[in-house]
Amino acid sequence: MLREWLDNPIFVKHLRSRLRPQAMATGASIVALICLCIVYGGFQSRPFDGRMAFAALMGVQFVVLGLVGSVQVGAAVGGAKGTGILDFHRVSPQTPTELTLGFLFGAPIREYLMAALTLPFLLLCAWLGYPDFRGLVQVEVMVLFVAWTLHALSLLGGLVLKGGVTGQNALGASIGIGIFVAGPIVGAFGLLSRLLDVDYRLEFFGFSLPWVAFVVLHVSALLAFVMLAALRKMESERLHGLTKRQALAAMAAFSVLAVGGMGNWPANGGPQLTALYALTVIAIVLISLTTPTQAEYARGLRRARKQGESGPPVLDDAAPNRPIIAAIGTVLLAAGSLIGMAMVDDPMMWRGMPKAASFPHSVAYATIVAAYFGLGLQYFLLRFGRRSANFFGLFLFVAWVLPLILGVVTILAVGPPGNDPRPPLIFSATPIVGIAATSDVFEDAAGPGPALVAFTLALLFAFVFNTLYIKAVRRVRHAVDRADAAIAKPDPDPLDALPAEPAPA
Amino acid sequence: MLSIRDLRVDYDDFCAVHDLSLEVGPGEVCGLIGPNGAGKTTTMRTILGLIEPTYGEVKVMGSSIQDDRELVGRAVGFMPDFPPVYEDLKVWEFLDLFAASYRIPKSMRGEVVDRPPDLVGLTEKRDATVPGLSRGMRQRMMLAKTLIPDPAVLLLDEPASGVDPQGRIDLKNILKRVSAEGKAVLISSHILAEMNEFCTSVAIMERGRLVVGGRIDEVNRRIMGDMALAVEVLSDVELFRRVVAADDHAGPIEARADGIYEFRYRGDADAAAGLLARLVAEGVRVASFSRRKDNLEELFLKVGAKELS
Repeated sequence: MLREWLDNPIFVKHLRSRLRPQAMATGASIVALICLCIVYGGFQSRPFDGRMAFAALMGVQFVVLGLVGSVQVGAAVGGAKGTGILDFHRVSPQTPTELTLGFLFGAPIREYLMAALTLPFLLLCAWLGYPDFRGLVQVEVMVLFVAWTLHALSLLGGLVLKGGVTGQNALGASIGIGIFVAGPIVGAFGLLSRLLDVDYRLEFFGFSLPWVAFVVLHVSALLAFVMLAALRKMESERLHGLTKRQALAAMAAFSVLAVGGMGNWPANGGPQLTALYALTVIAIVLISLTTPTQAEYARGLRRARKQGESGPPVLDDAAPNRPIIAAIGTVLLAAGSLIGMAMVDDPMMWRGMPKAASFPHSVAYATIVAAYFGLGLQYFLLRFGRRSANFFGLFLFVAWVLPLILGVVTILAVGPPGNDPRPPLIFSATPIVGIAATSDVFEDAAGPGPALVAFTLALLFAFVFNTLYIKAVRRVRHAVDRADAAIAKPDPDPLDALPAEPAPA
Repeated sequence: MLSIRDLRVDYDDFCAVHDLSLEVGPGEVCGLIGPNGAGKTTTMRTILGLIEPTYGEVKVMGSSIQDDRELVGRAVGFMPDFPPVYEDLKVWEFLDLFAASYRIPKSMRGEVVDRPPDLVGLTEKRDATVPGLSRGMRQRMMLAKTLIPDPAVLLLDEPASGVDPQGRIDLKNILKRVSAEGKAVLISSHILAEMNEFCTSVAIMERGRLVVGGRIDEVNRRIMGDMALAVEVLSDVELFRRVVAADDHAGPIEARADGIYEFRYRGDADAAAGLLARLVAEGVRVASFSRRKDNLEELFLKVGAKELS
């Protein structure tokens, strides 16, 4: 098994190209010197400051493995796709799984080795007293899972985004990451180290789990669906990242995770609203992933008609997205309702917190927003073809971003939201604020107005886009009928059009 | 070995390949000819499974890519016009990568990786890194890579572009060899004169449709309607013209610069032999009398392709 894995051509290719001694020695030396400096810094305090050294060493490890490694994965896949050589791998007998794993573990192979260089220093910290070995293993497990997820996301990005990432881009991005992100990450590991001081546990549907198991459970779900999408895109560029069934399964899985973990957080509305926002974003992403383009729908129609059907099956990649919008919306509605059930108003909290009685409004509103986003996206894709991104982007800017800008401008003119009802009303026009606004977070400043604005606009968009969706579907059907009718006319045999041969002399 | 039936491919609102049907049998070298945008590359990429057809069927060795992806992957070798390569590998590493991709056992890989470079004249560049290779050398490397799994069907999209004269001769010899080995070859090229030398059949495409296809001699007979005779006359050109004009099967005579006279001839081989006998009997000094080799360029232009890059 291991032998077969080590003969994975893509993995071996990266072993050869990325572990050439000179480049490897340079990178390894830099990491080793940084680690030495960190440990030296730890020894300057008496006694040895294990917490500081641990956080810094983990920060280095995460930056190298998680972030720079992700850049390398994206660059390797994006480059292979950009040059077209990925197509040669796709048509070879290698399976998409072999290709995906080859890129996933091969492209960051140098980063794995450089990250491994931090281990002796971390073990030294543990030997000197902080953290204990159990804590070190927990953090390493978490770092590995998060790094794999970032690598998988980067791989998916490389497969989906147009234009390859060059090695120079990758180098530039790595340096940028090193300079700007390392500090906050070291700080985060400093905070994380506090978890190691106690046997921190989290609940999932009432079951008490070690914190690392809880994190791994959530990260694994994300990793699984990202890998599923990556495998499909690796198999063929034309496939959607997820099938409609897989998207529904993903929505259900993330909803279960959100509902199961809510018991760990205060019931004052803040975490519940955050979870609702997260699920809405996930719903929108999943709907986008399963929405066919005009060309895909037309192709699906033609294929279905060739087989005597009126259109592609409902769950086919080429089928319009309304059924999947309904399914994902239902899951969102159910999950949001379950999340809101445990919510209670906390009189000690800031007055702008969501109200428990109004939280179902937010859930309903979020569902309508996800629905009109999907219907709008499908309409623009079917109606405008390749220009749809421009028009849909313009719509999103006007409907989602512009109210934010206008709201900020109004605040600058009239003062904070508490002093004037206009900024909350304007902010509520965008779903970015509207989900919170429908939970009456602006009730004290503006009464029920913001919720009404949010609902009115969302329902209007949902109605309009649903009407336009129906028209766009019909339009594509008619266009396909017309085009096929034109093509079906018997063409004159091109040979008939040849000039007659001159008569022999 | 390669069978395409009712293939249709659409890009957005543009039909790139329309109801194409084509067969390429063992030992056949089929020239896929057409102007830019005719659908040649789309056809090849659809055969490989890289483009999803709207409908239609592509079978390689009796299997479609949906039935047996691995078999089709092993059976088809593809070489595009502009070879994508890994810039960070050496030539042998690149070939070894694809030998491993085609599941050639590690013990045999050294031999398998060394053989194709010998064929395409790349042996001395074995340890060179890819950025140091010229376009022609990259093209040779890609051809070597294509030959590694010993595919039964070869799809070559402009294989000779950027290749030097020696490379073209090597390519021609390789195509003759693989054809003799019973492999099917589908090749697209704009250098029709060269294709003339190794193609046994032709498929002319325009705007996504197959305008005409089949064995070259059959297509020629169908399109041109007759054979072209080339006669080298040493003297008595006027007499030659009179004798030819008197033959009902002969078309107008065109004089080539090298003293050879060409004309279309609608008679069969017997009638042509009779014409030669009459020329000799009339006293025309004939140095050579031959049926001119079928010319793909003329055929292509006659069939109606508007643009040849």
